[in-house]
Amino acid sequence: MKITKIETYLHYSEWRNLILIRVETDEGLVGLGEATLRNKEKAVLEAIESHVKPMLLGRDVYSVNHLFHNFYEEDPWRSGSGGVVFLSAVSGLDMAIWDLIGQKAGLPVYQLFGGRIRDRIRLYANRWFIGCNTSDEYVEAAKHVVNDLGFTAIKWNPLYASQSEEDWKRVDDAIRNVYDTRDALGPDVDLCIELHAAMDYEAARRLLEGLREADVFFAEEPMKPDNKDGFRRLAKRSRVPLAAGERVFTRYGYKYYIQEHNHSIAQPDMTHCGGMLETKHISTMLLPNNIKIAPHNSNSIIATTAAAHVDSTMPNFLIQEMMLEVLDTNRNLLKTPVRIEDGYLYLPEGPGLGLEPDWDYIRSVGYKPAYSEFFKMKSMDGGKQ
Amino acid sequence: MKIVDYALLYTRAKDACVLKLILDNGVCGFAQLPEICREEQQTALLGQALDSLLGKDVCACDDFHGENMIAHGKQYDPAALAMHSCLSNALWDAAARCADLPLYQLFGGSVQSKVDLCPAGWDAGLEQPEEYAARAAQLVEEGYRLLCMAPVKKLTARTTDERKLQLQSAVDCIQQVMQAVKKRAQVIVDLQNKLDYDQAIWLASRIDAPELLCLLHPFDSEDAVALSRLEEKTGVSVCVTPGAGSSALMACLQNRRADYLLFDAASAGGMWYARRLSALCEPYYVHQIFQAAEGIASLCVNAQAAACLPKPACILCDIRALKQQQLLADPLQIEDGALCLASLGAGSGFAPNLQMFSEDDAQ
Repeated sequence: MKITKIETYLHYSEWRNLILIRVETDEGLVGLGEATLRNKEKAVLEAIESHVKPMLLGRDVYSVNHLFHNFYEEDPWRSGSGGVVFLSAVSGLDMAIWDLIGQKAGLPVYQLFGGRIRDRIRLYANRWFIGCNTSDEYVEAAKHVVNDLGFTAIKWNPLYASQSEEDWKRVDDAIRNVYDTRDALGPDVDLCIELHAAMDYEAARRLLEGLREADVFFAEEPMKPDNKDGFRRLAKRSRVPLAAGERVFTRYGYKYYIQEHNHSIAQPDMTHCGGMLETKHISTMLLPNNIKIAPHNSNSIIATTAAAHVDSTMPNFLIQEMMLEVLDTNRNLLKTPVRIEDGYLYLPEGPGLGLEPDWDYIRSVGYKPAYSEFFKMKSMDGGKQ
Repeated sequence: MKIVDYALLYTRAKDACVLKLILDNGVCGFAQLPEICREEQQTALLGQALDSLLGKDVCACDDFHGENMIAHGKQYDPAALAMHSCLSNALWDAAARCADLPLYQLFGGSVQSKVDLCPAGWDAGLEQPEEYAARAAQLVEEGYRLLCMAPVKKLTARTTDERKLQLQSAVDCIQQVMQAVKKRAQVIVDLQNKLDYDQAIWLASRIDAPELLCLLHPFDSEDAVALSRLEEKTGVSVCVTPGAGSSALMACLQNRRADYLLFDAASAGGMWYARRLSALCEPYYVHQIFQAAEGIASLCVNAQAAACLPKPACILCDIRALKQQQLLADPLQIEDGALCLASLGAGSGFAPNLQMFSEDDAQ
């Protein structure tokens, strides 16, 4: 079965441009992938169109292993860390190819990965707080996502719930916000906090010590990931499990992550770390090191479902990240939405990824500049430049 | 694709046993039952496991695949692990046959067109270095680029000096073989855990040459320090078998116990598990050697895992296994000492020639 056509679509969806991939074969099967990388979408698109697509066209579909090895080992300018742009391109195509292999074999992808050990995937909701400014608004939004939407775990950055401009006050406000949220939601909801690598060691230590009694599920990236000494010290002191890994790529990157062993929860992102099989390999490396996996994912229902296929086969899987906007893409991008209920994603049973994309809709919505404020150059003291 | 029946097939000499799973669509899945599983107690357990498979979809038997065995917290002795490897391999074989695809394609596709074979057992009964050299040269002429030799006999001498004499005889054989294959092939020296640490150092320091790929199982120890010191002191690479499961493998990799690791997909968790475990070696720059310990069927299953890796060192197999083509319905193509992957048919590539087997009702 040969690959005859690869099409890529930049599709604006609420807050970002998705990169969706359609791979056609000479047997009429169509594979679906996603390579979304926020604020770098045109770079990834170009990487696919100019560099990966010419390699794959006309090749046998069964080329996942070759694709990865070619990128990782053969080409000196793509090898090593690979770079997130190229790795996202490879990961998106890897997804589409696994979809095709599964369809051809008549098997869901999870079956190709050794079989599932869970039928449904626990999700934690992210981006449920859009529009919230004050701590009270955050708490109200959290109640909505738990009580009305059924999620049993949520993630947010409590530093953003502070109005203070001084770091030490923001830490105190964040601690208060987490306890307020815990009080409002009760003991049965898992609270995950992300800190966007915004603190130094002292602030991170103070925050996590302040949260000792809040039963926080995990704290993600309190400091910059390359602050290895800070993480080593923090890991020794903190009772809150530390999580990181969305910026670690491939087995090669995770080798050093494991050696450092500062985190008890790893967060590989299947859309950026080398693909579905690479994520599976990473989970196998982490398992004997007693590191659980809470995969990072800030993309659409397509990447989320692909991640769920891999999640279902991992013994050390903990919980899957899902942006609340995924619910919109679930309704819009697919002819038959994936079942997401009570904070769980139920794996589709069909062959491949089991998804039926609405290509007409995908094609009908194009690119829209959506450069996040988060990534704009700003004065280091927060003022205008 | 439900499993409706099963059978055990034996060769007339009862020296090989094959598990056959029969699906409701008429497709069958096959896997060789490792010898370790053929004792009475193991066959009883196998019967129970097979009975539990009846009526299930071949793709819904996840409990029998490597990851889930560990996920369920089961502890496996080698016999149990080998039995589950056989079940896992038969299930994978059946699933891939239903899709009419070789398994390595379901595993993401091959990275190369052929896998080097490394014959072992060709030196059985040989005594003199010249005999070793002549036989090795003959194999190289046949196209093999890798050879495995086991020159150390049982060390019966009582004194250190007498034992060194015995070891010197092994060194002579190795050196003669390396001279005979010079620049045309590499040699794996299988020491079968017969030496102690000092003897291994003594032997290794006398045989370092480009033609030497590695020492296999130099001494019976999982001591990472001793193994790495052997390499440091002599410059000779070492190959060992990691313990079962990903924990043992990761310990092996993280402690840099050896430059080469030996896997057997027929008995150490199955094809898919072996393929995945061997992939973990790549970031540690540790090479993989697959071992087809039990005949041509195990050669097929190991080839499925090896095909997916960029640089598997080889498949180590007994030379007698390479001559068992009559056991296969479709013979394998072996050219210039390498197995051509295109000659592996659907599933694991092992389709037994039913004329060579008789059915034994296992139920």
